Amino acid sequence: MNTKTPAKSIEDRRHLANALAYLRKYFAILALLVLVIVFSQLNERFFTVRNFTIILQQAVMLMVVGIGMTFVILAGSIDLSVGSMVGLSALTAAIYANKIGVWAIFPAMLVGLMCGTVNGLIFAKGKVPSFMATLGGLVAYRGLVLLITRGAPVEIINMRFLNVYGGRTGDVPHSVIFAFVAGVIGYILLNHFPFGREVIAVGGGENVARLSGIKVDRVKLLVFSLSGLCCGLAGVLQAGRVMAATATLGDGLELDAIAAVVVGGTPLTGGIGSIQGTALGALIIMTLSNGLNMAGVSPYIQYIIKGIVLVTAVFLTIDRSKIGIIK
Amino acid sequence: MKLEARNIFKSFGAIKAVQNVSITFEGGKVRALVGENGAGKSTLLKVLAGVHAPDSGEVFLDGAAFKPTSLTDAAKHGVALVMQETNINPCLSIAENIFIDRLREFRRKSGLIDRRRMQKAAQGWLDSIGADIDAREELRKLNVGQWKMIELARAMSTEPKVLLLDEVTAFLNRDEMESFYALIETLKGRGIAIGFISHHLNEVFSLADNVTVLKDGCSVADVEPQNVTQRELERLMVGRDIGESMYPPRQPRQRTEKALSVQELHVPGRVEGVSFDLYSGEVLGIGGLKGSGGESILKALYGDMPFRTGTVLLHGAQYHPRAPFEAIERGVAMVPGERTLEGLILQLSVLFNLNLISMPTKGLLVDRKEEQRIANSQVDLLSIRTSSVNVAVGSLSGGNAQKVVIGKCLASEPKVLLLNNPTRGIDVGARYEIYQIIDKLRNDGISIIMVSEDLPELLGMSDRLIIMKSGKISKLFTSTDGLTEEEVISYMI
Repeated sequence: MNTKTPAKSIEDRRHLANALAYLRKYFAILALLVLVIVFSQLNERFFTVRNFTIILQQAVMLMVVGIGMTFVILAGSIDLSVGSMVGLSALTAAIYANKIGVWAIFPAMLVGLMCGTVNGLIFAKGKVPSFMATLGGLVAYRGLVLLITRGAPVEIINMRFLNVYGGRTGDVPHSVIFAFVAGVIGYILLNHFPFGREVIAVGGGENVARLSGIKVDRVKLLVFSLSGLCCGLAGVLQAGRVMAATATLGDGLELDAIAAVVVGGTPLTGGIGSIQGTALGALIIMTLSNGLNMAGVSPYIQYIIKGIVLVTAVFLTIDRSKIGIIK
Repeated sequence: MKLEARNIFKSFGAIKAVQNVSITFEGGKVRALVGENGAGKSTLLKVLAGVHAPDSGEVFLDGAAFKPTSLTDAAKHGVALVMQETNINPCLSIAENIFIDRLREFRRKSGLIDRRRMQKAAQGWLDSIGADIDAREELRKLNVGQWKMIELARAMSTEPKVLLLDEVTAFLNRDEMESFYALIETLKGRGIAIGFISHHLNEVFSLADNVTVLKDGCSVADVEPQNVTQRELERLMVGRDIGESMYPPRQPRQRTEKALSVQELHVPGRVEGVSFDLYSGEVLGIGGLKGSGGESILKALYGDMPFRTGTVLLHGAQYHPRAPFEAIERGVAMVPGERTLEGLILQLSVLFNLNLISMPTKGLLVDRKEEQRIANSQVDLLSIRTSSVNVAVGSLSGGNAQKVVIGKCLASEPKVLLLNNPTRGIDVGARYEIYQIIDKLRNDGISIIMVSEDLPELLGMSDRLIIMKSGKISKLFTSTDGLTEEEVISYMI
């Protein structure tokens, strides 16, 4: 009899562990469903195609930036400069949109790529921890935006630019299509290119990766370039949506982007994660904002709720057995 | 004092680490625990010393129920454990490491710590176990063996009545080993109960009064070493007969094709002008005390450590790798010495780890079918025991994990294979299999350099043997037939 008791409790615990693993796997979807159901009860205008389109549109910037951020975090680093890179790219897009129309996407993405590459070089070659290197970027790139705009917004008057990046075909906003394509490319890059394997290996164990013949410095540089490139695209889409580039565009985006990645199941310790998870994470964050707004919750209280929801999400989903040391 | 455990069960998730084990440690007696990796030895000691709580079963200390809640708690009651995992914080001083859970005992009236008194106490404990370590030394300047001695001093400083040791000798050098053996004898004389885990059976035979053999979490035998032979003990551990010899028979080899020719290799501060040749289809052993230069030679040849050199020729062509990827491109692979830190990404799958070096592609994309094929074929070839190639490699036992490291290297189809202590911390069964694998590679014409701290292994596996002493070659044996350990050691010291 005595020997049966532990066996049973072990069995119970295994069920619990399985249930938790299940919860972790589908957490993002479940959380989104719960949010949708709750907000639908609070306001009847929430559960409409029109509102869902708005949420998607609002989530675009976060999703696109989140793709690059997923790679950075998978490689075990962090990019705090994304908001400023989006701001600088959007400004570039706005200035060039009035000169070369739709082609403004190229200089804008180039600026993003360059900023990201500078971050990457400082980190990978200069051996400055990514947290500090990109914290410098956050301040410096924003400074550049302020220097150029002197604080005043740059309005976009080129209609073709606004139509292509801010417009819609039928009910589908173009920016959502761009984000979707970027997401698919990110997914393929992560899951079907050797680069994706290398990023995961570097995040999982840098020493092991290096001794396995992976060019670790190159991988580190490339994830930051990629993050910059994504910020470039996000900047263009955001400029197209708000029809201008303001000095504060993208301000504070880094925290939402990191939150989207982590809620989407990619822990900050790197090595594990997915693009589709990040997309869901971005949707959750935006649904939360949208729903709280429509429910008439004061913006100050919204901050508090958002903070609680994010920490709870990580608390519930983090697989402590895989990560080991939590810092 | 007597520590007695009855019907201990302990599981981690689905893994039944310890099942219904009863064991007794008596004062003045030494009990060895032996068994394969994953047999439950470490878990058992951790249960006894308060690291893990048992799922069921009882522990008695001198007849009273003993339920320690932590290492510190167990130590207070007189049961101390030195764990297998290194448990030293290199950011702290040696004294702080030893007294980390008792810093308050060294408080002055003002509440500040009396460092001098603490250091003196630390030095006292280090001297008492015969460790040749200055307590003022920086931890980063010491090696892993010395760290182990510090952990031993920490255990002793709690003045235990029962001392449990988990593979403490694995990283000790000869001198440290001698003082360790002497210490055990002294403690025995003082009536302290000692339990230790070891993979070195000769150690078990010379130190232990009783031996408990664990297999798959169960206690399969409790014997006195004078009543069994080493082979019987091995059979009990593995569950089958290993055969006449651990090591595959060596055929006489013609050394015709030079795979690697090293002239005047210099690694600043570590290796001074070493020259040797490596032929196709041979195992060239490199032995020597820790830090004598063998590992540095491997790292240099793998591009993991910068070297100045006269010339290194690989198959007749200039070879000077500046990073591991350059070595791999030239068909050189290395099995690193630290399996978990350098060889494997533990949270990722067996499949991912096996393809880490080869990373097969079709055009620009990863060839997923080929990945699967490589993983399955290495699992077959090396008989890696895993439920699927998709499980995390961290869930495998030490021996099987090491086979994954070897498989990862083999998947890149190397011509030259560098092995750094390929069987360190691995049980007899897996060790035997790894020797078979090395022998097969040698017969396939692959050139192998094997650095090892395990002398019988070097003698059993090497076709030729280099002995290193302070960065230089002190002896090259062109054959290892009939060579004795004593003869080899004489060139090391």
